[in-house]
Amino acid sequence: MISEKYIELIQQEVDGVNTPDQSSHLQEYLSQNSEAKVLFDELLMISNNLHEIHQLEPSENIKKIILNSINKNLYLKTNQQSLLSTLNTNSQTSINLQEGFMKGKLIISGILLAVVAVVYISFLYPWPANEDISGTIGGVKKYNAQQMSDKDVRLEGQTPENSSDNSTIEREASMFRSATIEQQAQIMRSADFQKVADLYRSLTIEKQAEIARTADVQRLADLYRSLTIEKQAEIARTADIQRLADLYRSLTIEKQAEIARTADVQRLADLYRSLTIEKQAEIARTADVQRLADLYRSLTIEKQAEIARTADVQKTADLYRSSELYKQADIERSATIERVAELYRSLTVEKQAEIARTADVHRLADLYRSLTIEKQAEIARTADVHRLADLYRSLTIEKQAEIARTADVHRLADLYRSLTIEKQAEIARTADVHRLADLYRSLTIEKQAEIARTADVHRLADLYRSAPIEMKDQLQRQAEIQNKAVQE
Amino acid sequence: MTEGQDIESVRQTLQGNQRAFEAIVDRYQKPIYNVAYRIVSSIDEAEDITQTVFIKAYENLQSYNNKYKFFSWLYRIAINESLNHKQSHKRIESLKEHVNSNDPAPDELLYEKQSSQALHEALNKLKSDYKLVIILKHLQGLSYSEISEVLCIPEKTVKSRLFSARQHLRDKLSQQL
Repeated sequence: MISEKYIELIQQEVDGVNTPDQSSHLQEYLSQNSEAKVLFDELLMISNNLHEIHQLEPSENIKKIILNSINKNLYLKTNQQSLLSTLNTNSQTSINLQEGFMKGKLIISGILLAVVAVVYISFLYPWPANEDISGTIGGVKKYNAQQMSDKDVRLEGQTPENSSDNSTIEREASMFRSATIEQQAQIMRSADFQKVADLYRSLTIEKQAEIARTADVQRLADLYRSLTIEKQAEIARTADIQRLADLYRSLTIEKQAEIARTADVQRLADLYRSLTIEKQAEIARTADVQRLADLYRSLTIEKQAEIARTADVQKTADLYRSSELYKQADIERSATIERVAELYRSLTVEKQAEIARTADVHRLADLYRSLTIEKQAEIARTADVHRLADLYRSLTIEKQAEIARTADVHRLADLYRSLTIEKQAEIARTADVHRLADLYRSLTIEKQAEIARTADVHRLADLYRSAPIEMKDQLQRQAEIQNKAVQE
Repeated sequence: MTEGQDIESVRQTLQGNQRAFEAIVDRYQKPIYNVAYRIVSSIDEAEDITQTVFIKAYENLQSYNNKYKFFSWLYRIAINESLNHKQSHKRIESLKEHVNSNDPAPDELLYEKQSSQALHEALNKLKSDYKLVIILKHLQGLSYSEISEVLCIPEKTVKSRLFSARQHLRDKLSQQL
């Protein structure tokens, strides 16, 4: 008979979780109890046999099927947005959507470029503290004349112990720069970035700027790309964004552009998404919008499009909304409409629709109204009416109504009248009359009256005459139905 | 198991980051597939179950309570799904029994030959309760406390069930010899 206590010890021994004391106690017991010894041996043999069963590899398609089967929009908040009514509807549509693109594009570029700056500048201090490199730098001993020690690190509120701090760091930096890319990568892989970041922060801003200025960006970019995504994320998390932003701004525009050009946008976007929302917001807050816009414009259209394609629209919109109003206005003012329109058109219709769906209609309307009439007209002129109409139709009726409700009818009428007759006719041709009539009916009586009052009857008549016969028939039928309804 | 990574992946997935969920699939598709296969003993069905498990996990991610380990939650879905599948499949099989033979598919047969066929058969003959603790302990390498969390039973019960399961397995194996 084996007591419960020893059965448990036998089982734990088989599973390898006994303490040394428990093990030796059990061994002693087993040497005296043959029944227990037989049980132990049998269980151990079964356990060993079970461990020999191989794990099967699932088919490569499983992952694909899973990812294709899930509802990708399930956790995307569907905020909504704008547009208008009657014939003027389409022109407003163009305006608001265009505005959305402007925002989307510039925020995307702004934020991603800020990330580029952060990540690459995080790189500009790639020499680790002595204890962090002791294992790895051995392989590059010839570059390792003298490592930094604690006394080289000046903590906040502490004065330097001697004036050799800077020269030590310079020496380290110079050694690091003279190492091969493999050696640098080796050092980077083993580095404790939090410590390195602390060290870096202990330097004066001038020293940091000096380091940044002398950096070989291409080399650093290569180095950075050779790291794993986890290591990259670690670097991003330890960054002191405000300081890095200051540093970045202190660089010449050419250096900034060089950094931007070497960026692997997809990777940076992944990296950016892996940060917390607070960190992302911090990055967004420190961005110098005007400068980033300049930078963005200095990139090729392909690079810009690449940035736009990788954007996480919902998150970007959230971030944008969290930024101060003056910052948003900066973004608006710095937009070059044609370029933004061109960029927007280069996106897929799904991406465009995604941008439209995330738009905050009221905010966009406010922003739009804050622009000059010329800027508004410029937006209207560059609109691709057919595409916008498609986009508009892809929205829900509630979203469309929301757009219509926020419309400033008088201003829109002015705008509409400022367009060429061809543009007006184009807008009229793309109108979905039934839907517009539904929309119109969903408005308040005051809004309907306001629309009626602003109508330029002669122009509308001209427009009507220029419409295709099918549209006239459609309008005629609609009018008859309405008249009948009124009479009844 | 990387608990911190799991919780971060879940958080990001809930914020709409698809890649975070992809990372979860990468991390767990193999163990989940193996658990399913050991329960239903069919490669095709194990694949179907694995897909269903991840889709259900994704759809119900908001209900996951991070007080518990994520993989325990996922394993629990996998086990329930596999047992339900086996149960419903059993009914279909009993209807088809007189028409079809129960021979395993050629690829399954090959696998069985490669690994210990006797052991696999003995494992298949165990009651589900016993089979589950063996799978989780020996094939997935979970600790007593992890098994306790996955199966929602006290750790003491895990130990006693594991002991009985091993003894039954020993008996089945000796019957085959």
